[in-house]
Amino acid sequence: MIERSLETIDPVEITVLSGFLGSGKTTLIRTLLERPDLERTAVIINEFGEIGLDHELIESSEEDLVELSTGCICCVMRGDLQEAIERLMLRQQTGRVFDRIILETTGLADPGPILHSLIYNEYLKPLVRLDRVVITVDALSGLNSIANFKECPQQIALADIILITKADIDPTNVDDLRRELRRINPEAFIYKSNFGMTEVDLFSLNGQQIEKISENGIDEHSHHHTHSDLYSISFRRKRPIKAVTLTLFLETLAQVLGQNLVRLKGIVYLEESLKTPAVIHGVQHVFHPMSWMADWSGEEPETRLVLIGRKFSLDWVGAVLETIEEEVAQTIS
Amino acid sequence: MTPERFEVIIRGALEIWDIECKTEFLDSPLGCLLWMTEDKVSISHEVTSFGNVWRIVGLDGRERVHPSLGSMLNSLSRILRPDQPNARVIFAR
Repeated sequence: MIERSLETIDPVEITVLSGFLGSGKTTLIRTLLERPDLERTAVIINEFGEIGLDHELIESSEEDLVELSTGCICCVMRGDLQEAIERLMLRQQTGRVFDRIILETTGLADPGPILHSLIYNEYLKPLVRLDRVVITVDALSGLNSIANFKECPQQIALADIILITKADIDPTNVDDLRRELRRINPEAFIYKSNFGMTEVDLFSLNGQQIEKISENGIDEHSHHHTHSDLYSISFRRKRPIKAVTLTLFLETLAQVLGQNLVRLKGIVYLEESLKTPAVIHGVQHVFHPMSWMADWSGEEPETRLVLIGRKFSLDWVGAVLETIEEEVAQTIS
Repeated sequence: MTPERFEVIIRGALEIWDIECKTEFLDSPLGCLLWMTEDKVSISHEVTSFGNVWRIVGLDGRERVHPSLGSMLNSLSRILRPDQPNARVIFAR
């Protein structure tokens, strides 16, 4: 543990970059680091295996590159991740200033536990602020990876932004892949990326845009099956929900679903805050602090939730919410 | 609580937990029996003057009484999946 005080350092935004093996994460980072506006970016690279190779492929100031090579972050490296972030943050005190960290995971990582650490770890919370999760998916082998490797859909489910890479080599599967990605994660932004050049600047989307549930992603009470065992369900509810009902509902979902709930994201029409939509965002059983949007931007107020996971049905989720609503109403009356 | 919603909740939980058993749903009183080979687990729900009451009689014959859906599902999970700890939600501050 590094003993110097980090109390005076402002938190730095951290972008988690994940994606299945060979999907183009390192190429993307190389291209990003060539941009003058991303000059003040530090990179943490995690590699799975005894010999780290990826960091050799990235040309960057060694000072701002930290390699973790003793295992996969999501399994055993969370202590090392904490130390790596601490080491980077201490450089802020010695004049080497950066204003963004990119954390590249291994191709086999489940980003969930990493996000838990960044959101929930008492030591890391004052140092970094999770900004966005970017996932690369290979246009050539993405559908196959989704169908055959459980890590791949798990990564896609947790993305804020999905980049389809290598579409320039063979665009045949891009439409099918895009549909599959949309089924797994209906609210993520999906763009193409060739040799690390993305259709849209990854960092041009502000937090509010990322928090906002994409209208394309929410059908009226929908349930999408995919080639993997992950799927998404979404529903809307026009009646406001009491805060206590929401808390009990989230607790019950997490308790019953366990690892079958991969992600929950949504806007809630809260009875206690009718004019300001509440944004909820959970990764497995860990939920971010609730944030608030300024207003409904002219839209009709309603709760809109997207759940990504396995084995649950829209009917079951709705029945649980209705029952908890009834129980709360009976208790209050 | 309607019989239809009761059935959706119980069947949904069994599917999520990968529990295969014969089920027998009853409308009045609202409840169901889960047949685990020779033994059974019974679940019932009623609304009383003091609120909701969920009752479970487990494989050991002992009755558990719960005031909410969440606590009933928690208890049912422990009976049907004794080796699987329940997840707990964490709200980051």
